[in-house]
Amino acid sequence: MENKSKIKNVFIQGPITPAYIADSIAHHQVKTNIGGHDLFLGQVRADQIGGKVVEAIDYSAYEEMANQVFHEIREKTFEKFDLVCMHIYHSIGIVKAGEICLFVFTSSKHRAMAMDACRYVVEEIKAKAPVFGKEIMNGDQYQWKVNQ
Amino acid sequence: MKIQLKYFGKIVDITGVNEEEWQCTTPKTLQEIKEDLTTKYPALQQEVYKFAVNLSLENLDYVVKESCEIAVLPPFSGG
Repeated sequence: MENKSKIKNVFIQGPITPAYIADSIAHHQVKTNIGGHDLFLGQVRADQIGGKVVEAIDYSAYEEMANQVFHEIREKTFEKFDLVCMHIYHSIGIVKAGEICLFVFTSSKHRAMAMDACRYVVEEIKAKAPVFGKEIMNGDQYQWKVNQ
Repeated sequence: MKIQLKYFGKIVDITGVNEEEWQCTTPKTLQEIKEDLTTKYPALQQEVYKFAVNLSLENLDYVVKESCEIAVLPPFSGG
């Protein structure tokens, strides 16, 4: 069980690559008490804003507080759901449109817990983690992203 | 007393710095800090933001103590 742990750094410089995600999945093959995984991948959208297209998001964060918040979300998730393990990774710095910026991975004996927990974690991150996205357009213009 | 202010996201566009140190003569509430910030950076009046003190979100009646780290946080947009 990984539910009692110290505060981890969830931030990854730049995009979270498909290879990194595949590798993370592969690492779970030794955990044979898992019967179901769920994962959420947040991807940067090429939104059109006033005729300009978002090319990338430059993520910044109050990293010390964010890691503390991610830790609290993690502890609460383990209290609420019967999970075998969970992982959270968030990008910091530039992530281009089409690339992955958030990776949430929950694993349980059965599918329902993994799926419910995954959604819960993503919603908590959106609401509580002090992370800020700067949407870069046409190279040098930008606006600050607002979560829906 | 000394306090440390940290700015993030859109707030940095207004302050022009990521952090600064302030000297205060007496203990202050976050409401008073907010008023001082608005005096120094009038454009903050149009912005929505919250305060975190030593990594926890706090209400405006919170009394700031010596050596507190105060973060000025615009709306979150992670994920």
